[in-house]
Amino acid sequence: MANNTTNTFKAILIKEIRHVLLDKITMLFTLLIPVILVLIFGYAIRTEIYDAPIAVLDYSQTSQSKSLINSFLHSDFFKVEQFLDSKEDIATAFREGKIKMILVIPQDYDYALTINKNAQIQLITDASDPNISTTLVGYARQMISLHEKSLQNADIEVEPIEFRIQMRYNPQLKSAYMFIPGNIALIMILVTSLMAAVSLASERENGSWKMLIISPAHQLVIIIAKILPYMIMSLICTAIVITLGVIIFGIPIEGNIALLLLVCFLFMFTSCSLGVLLAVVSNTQQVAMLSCLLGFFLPTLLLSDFIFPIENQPILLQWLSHLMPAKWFITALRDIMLKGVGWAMVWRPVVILTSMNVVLLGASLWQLYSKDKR
Amino acid sequence: MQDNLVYNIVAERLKRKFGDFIAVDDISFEVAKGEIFGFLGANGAGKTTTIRMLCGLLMPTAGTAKVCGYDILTQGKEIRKHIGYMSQKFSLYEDLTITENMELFGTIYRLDRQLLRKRILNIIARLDIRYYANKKVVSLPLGLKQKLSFATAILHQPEVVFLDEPTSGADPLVRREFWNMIYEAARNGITVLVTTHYMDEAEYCNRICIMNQGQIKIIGNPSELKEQHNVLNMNDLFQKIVNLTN
Repeated sequence: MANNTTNTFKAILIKEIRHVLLDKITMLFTLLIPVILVLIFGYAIRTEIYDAPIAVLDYSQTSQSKSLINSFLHSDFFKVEQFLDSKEDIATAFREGKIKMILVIPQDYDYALTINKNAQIQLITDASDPNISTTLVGYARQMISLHEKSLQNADIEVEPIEFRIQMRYNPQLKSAYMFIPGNIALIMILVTSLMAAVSLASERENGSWKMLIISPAHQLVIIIAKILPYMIMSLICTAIVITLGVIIFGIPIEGNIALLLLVCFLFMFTSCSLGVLLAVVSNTQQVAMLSCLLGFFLPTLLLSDFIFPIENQPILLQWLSHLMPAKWFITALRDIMLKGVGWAMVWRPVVILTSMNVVLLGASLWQLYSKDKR
Repeated sequence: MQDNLVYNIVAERLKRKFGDFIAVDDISFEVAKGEIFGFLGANGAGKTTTIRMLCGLLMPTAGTAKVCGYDILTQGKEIRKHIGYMSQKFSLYEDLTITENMELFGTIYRLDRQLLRKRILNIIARLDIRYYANKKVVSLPLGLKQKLSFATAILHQPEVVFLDEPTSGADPLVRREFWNMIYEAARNGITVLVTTHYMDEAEYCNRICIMNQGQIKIIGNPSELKEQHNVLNMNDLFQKIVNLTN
């Protein structure tokens, strides 16, 4: 009996691997996706910027302000493109799209420095690309501190300059390291959920499924053997993403590798269960594919807090985001990889993912049995 | 029918509803071991639903049946070890070769590896398809696909094989060859339950039943039935029965 089950399992597994290997285009595509995704996200979110175009609005027009501007003029990071005359010009400068940041020096800058009051400098950035603007603000702060120090060396005693930073177009800035965990989630969904769903639904559509379930083979054995190749592929893809992240982008893996693997496996099983559920519920490949892309992939992209900050979205969507397995997966992954937190810290995502897995697996098995008997 | 015959299929007042629609309406029949039993009827008469219930793929709303002595309500698992099935949709894997397909299904049906290889060689010799043995199924002519599908369905030498419109779309020559294979299987003791809407094929069966609107209207040996109803061929018989009952 056990031997029969093993043989059946092997036979179906071999069959499924043959399907995967025969479909060379899909295979190539699957292995290229991780590389392409990482490169796209990686270079869209690069952190080093040189010669960023900026503008200066100098209300003060004193030697102190001129010397501050001078330090920007001589910097490798910035290129002063424009000198503005009034605050009305600010919006125009941004709208033209050439300027990434504007340095506003108030009228009392000189006075404030001299009488030891906090001098205020305003930095206005175009935060439609939040990562660039964060970086620019960081650079500018350093430059201004250096300038301040040079003033101290000149024996003028000054209070530290206080910055008032205003992020336009996207007040919440997101970490650049988000994309590696996010990419892993997307690829897991594409490879396990989507491919497993499509392969299962196509068998149900073309009738071969009936041949399988009419046989003595247990349904669960058939399904596990069928989706195992996709699980393996998804793990290979995950390894590719992590390797690229570490080698090209220097993403740290601070945490426990075993914990990292556990979380990856959990999410893989969760998206597999969802894939099986979608395949069983939909009657054709097309429906399975569409429901997987629109019902799982797209919400994950939008709501898992990896491209679009969830804090900026309506309350209802923020609530919905808690239902996304990927949100918890990404949270756990980020905490493990970047912060190096241990078992004690990631119990919440792990418990949530496990329960989602149980619910989805239960639902798909229940659907599977009841649908074929109906 | 004699009492000492072994019945491989015994259906008792089988009924199946889908919502308000009654697909199979209270049918009873039995099929003896080694018999070729034909199910005739228009599309939607309830033939496929009956087969699905007998295979344990669908639960009846009422009534029950025994297949190879096992109850379809409770012993579906046992039944699946003793039956073969060929659906009206061609369902071998098109991107795999003939041999790969047969190895897969043979293994699932728990055939010993040596025995399986021997049977595959037999089938290749019997169908004279050495040339196609390592070709992908997608490249085969339709008739050959159907014959191969049947050969795969009885690869494990089941006690009963269910054929759901096995010859639809095939040319007359292929159908003739296909029926030769069915006779061969029956001679080897396999009970055959076949649905068709080709009336000439009905003549090849030991017994037939005509289904209409979920009910069995008539059941018996083709020649005897023709004589009783005073018609020349099965087509006339079918028309007569269906017109009578509509």
